[in-house]
Amino acid sequence: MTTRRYGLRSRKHRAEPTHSLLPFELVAHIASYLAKDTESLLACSATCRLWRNATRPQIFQKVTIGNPPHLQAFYDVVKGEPIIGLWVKKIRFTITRGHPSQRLYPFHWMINAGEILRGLEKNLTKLDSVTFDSVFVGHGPSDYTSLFEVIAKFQTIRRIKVSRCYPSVTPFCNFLCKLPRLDSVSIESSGPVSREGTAEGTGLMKISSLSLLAHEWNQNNTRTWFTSAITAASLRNLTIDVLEPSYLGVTNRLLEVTGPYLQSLRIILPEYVRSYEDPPRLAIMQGINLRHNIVLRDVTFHNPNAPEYTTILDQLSSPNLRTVFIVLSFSTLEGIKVKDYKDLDKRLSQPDLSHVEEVCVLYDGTLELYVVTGKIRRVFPSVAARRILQVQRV
Amino acid sequence: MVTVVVSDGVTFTMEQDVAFQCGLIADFAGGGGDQEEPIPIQAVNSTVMRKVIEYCEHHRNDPPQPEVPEGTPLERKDRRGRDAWDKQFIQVEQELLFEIILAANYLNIKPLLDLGCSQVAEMMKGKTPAEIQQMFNIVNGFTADEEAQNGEGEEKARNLNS
Repeated sequence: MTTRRYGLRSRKHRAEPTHSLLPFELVAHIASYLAKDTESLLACSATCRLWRNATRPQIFQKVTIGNPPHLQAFYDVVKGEPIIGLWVKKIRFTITRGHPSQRLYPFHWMINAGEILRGLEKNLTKLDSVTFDSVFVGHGPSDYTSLFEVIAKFQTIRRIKVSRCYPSVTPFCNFLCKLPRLDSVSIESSGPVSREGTAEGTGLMKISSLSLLAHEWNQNNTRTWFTSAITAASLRNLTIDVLEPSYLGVTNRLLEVTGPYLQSLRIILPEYVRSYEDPPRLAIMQGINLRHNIVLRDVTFHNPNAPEYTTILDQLSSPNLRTVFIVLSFSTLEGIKVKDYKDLDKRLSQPDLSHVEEVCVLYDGTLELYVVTGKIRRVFPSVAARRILQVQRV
Repeated sequence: MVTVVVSDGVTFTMEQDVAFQCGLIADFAGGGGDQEEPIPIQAVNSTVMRKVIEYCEHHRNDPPQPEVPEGTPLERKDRRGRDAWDKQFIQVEQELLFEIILAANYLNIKPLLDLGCSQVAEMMKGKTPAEIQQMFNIVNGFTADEEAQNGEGEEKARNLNS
């Protein structure tokens, strides 16, 4: 009788394959590190039964539906093998560039998508995240109702991301309110909200993470809508850009509502904003009770001794603040040599930051990272700085 | 100080902050002071234990990793990341690598477990099934029907991930 052998084992143990066999849960853990590499997952899946079983949940965890054939294939796969439905956690809807459906009926197939997905309601019971990317959602409610109404039935959804969606994100704002477990909302580079016909944002009162980046702006805009929608103290993580001074009013109102409860704030300030008056644009942060970190990205200073530099540092006075990341982009500096920043730690220590355990100044050009408070723990080598950079990019 | 005795009878004595990075030892010692009785670690041999201690000593001053909510993507969970020392540390023979992973799992050292597993994943990236089978001495055992099913499933998966 032959013994079937599979799984990972070292070369040394060819004769005794079971000696160093990794248990299934560890193989699955290894496979999870390949989650973004479909080709490697498929290769692993084809090696043996153990790896097939360990990798298939990863392979089907994230599904992209880019055109009608994709959608039908997805339906067939899940219906043909229902367990796959349990593995699907993320669905990304997009229209594949150049596909005929984009040219002819940019959104009609999305309406059909609703009908097809309706049949999977009992299969996708672990669906956690839905992304709409580059989707033309139409102008009126009738264009999107079918798809969104169906997706709203997937009550397990916690994360919604909308990216490059035009002409308006109004449909999404209506739809968001219907998801009882919604926790994270991200809207990027999309059309504005039309407040007329927009549902009340009561469903957003419970979200803990909000990201609003680079979307179109008009008088009745997305940020205004969110400012009125988010009236509760649930928000913990906020990422927002301030593309021009007129945005500051709404941004500050949002911060006034959520600020006392925020744990993480990431504000992106393009350089040209600095040239406007009102340099203490982050004055609202003075009242914020941040505990974890403030990430000031793209905050650049032509002159480290300039008033706005000190102003921003003065904002970091929250008594509970523990970690501050300040990212300095050298590429935008004018007339300042890298070496001029070497003693930045001395200047940073001027404000009373004794309550802050770490202030990390990330020199984007040199990948040097210093911990510069009175409680200096270590000076990170350049490799560590890259590591922090990766964290920020996430 | 904490003393452990491993499967081949070798005894190791460590400072508490080193030893308590192993969840198992911390649990065993109950978070108290010096442990007089050696703690038996029967699932780990001395060669592997030396590597484990080397890792724990290097990371003894690391701040504790924050709790991550369920469902957080893996790349966001690994806050510690892999620095140059980690990369060098984990460049070991395949057999030892697997034993480190098993030991990290047994001793409940999550960062070391993640480091070892990510290293194996790195080794597999970009390889063909045959190359992976050869590298890890895997015997697939698929029947002809299963091979055919694999081909179909692969095509479907590729479509849905494109």
